[in-house]
Amino acid sequence: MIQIRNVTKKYGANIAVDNVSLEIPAGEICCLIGPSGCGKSTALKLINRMLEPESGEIFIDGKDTRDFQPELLRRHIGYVIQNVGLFPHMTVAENIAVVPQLLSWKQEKIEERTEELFRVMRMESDQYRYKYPRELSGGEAQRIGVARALASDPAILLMDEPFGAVDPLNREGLQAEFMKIQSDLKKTVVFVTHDLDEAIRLGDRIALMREGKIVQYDTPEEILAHPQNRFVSDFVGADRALKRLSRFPVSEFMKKPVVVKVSDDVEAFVAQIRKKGRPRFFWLLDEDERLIGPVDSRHVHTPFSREEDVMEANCSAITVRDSATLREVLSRMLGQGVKTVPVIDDDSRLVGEISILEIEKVTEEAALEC
Amino acid sequence: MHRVGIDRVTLAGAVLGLLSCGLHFVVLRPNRLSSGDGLLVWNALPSLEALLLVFLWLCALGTGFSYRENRPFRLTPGLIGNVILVLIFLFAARMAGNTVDPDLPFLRISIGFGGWIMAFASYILILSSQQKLAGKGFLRLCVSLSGLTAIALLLATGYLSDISVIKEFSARQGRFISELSQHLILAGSAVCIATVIGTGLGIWSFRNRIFERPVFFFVNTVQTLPSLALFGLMIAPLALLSQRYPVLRDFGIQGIGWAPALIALSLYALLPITRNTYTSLRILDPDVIEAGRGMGMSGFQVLWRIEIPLSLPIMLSGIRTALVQSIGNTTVAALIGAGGLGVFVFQGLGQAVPDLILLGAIPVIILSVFTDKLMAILIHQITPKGIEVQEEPAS
Repeated sequence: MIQIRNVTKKYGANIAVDNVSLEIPAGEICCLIGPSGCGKSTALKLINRMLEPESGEIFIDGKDTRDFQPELLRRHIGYVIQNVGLFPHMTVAENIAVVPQLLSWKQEKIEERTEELFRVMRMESDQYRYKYPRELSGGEAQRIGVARALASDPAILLMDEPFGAVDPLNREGLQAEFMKIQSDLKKTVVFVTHDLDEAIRLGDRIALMREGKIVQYDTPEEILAHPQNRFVSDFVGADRALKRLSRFPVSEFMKKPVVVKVSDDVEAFVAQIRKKGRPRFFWLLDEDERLIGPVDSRHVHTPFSREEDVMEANCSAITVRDSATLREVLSRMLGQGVKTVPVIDDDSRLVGEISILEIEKVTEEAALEC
Repeated sequence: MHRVGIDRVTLAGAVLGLLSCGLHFVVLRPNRLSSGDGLLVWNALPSLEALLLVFLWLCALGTGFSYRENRPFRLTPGLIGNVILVLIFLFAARMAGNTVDPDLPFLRISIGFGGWIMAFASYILILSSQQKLAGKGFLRLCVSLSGLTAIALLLATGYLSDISVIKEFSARQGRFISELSQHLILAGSAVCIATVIGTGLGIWSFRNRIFERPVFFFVNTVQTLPSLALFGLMIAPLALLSQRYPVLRDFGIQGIGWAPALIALSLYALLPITRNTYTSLRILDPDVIEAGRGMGMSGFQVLWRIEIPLSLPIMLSGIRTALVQSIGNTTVAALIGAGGLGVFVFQGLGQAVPDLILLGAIPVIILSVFTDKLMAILIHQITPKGIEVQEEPAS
């Protein structure tokens, strides 16, 4: 647990953090967000004493951070920055081992931990450990940056716009991956971002800052449903109902799809469906359960022909990953003019389908809450 | 399948080598001061030896025209170059030894313009192989040094002692050693002083940006002054100082001598060292430093584990430039009485004895090349593998 009490930080006459108090429960992600210059990064750096406040105090698990030497304190707090800052003269494995080495761990223990982190990050150790940072892509480097911060298994992780410099496509992947890791590790995370969608998606709580002060500190649902003042409602925007959809992962709302394999007797399957009258659409899979495309049972030729009866062409445009959110699903539906989209996993296997009805249900519930 | 092509470097060397056969290979002088008669290769050497040289050059030419990308072809130019290099000195020395004329007891035989050009051309062949063997450390070293080692051996065994330059050397062996060490001490201590001051200036102008302009204005201006002028400029103020405070004279500090030379040489060496220190700090990524601090490194650990490994190679290459430059500039310092190998150069100029000039000039060249190589190896060893280094052009 992190407790920030009445903390103020000034740069000359400019007050960067103005009498801020904040309590972050253990195991939760707290997103600090706000317009640039609002003091969110400064607030983050006060926690591991990269910066020292003029007044106020910060406690970690009930202990005053001023009782520790700053260097020793930082070795027990993970730290990830926007531009990664991997050490260019060290290999990936050496980068990960920096903090354990500072903590004088035994070599075997460091080795073991490094291997474990490669597994956590789902990266091939043999492929990456001897590489140098300049040989990595942006997304890979950022994952190593997170691994390095996790190396000594700290209870607290400070992340300063960690995915800010990554392109949008990779960013979504990294976010999804980070959520997966966090659901296992349950770190107390302070996450600075300027991207509201990111904050809504990742944060258990969001602290919205403005001119060094916290304007509202609440769960994303609360902030979207009950903005405390004009600034907050302007910041979350008129599309907040839409933004709220990022809180709902596809995997929790998808339904079991109606499927048939291309190797099976498709014509018999169609006949059966026609007799029942529903569903109108089903999904055609290949032998490895990978999605080929949707089939409209009312317009199937006899004999069945893959070329004419399967709408393969735009299939990838409507497909979503199981790590996506309902917001992305809705966007695909509106963009492609479909009411149901297929959901695939990392190996392109069809794991579910989701229709506009599910989204309506979610938004209705939200409207009731408000 | 190996692509057959034209190897321009080898070709250039071979053409130059063949052309040099048309210039005087050796010069005969009745005594060390008189001007002499030049002899072409076929006049100077027995026909078999002359033919061998020409034949080797033709081989080099052939290699240049039909180059293939494989190991024998990479090695051939260097091999031919080394052989020719050794043969030039070997043949000249034999010729000098065999030419004994009782009427001319002071007869001197020097390597002529053509001989030197030929030696230079053979070095181009060696360079050509060096380029192609990049990354193959041992072979490359063999190609670079085998000829020079052989010549050094010939020198040590006294085989070359009939050549005029060596005679000049034998006549002044003691003086040569003392001037050589004076040269090394002057150049070395100038670079040491410049390293301390230059590194300081570099760090200082990086930390306080307002000093960046004045500091670089100063070191740049110093660099534009001709070395002779800078040596001259030092004389007046130092002479004045030593007059005012006679105690300085007891330390040898006066208008001429080592003191003004050392100051001028140190000033010269400032620019490369200051500039590279400054650059090496400029290109340090602030995010990397922040990450280091954020991981929990102390100030010293950040310096030792991040800043120094990342900036040292660039700082060292500044010192490399300064060293090579200082070794050359120290030659001129002889003019203000500071000693060094320049003494022979200027004596030789004064007496119009080309071989005495060479006695000063050749060691300076060898020292520069050797220092440069040594620093290159050191920098290569010290550069961390993960950072990209711009390979400096081969020298």
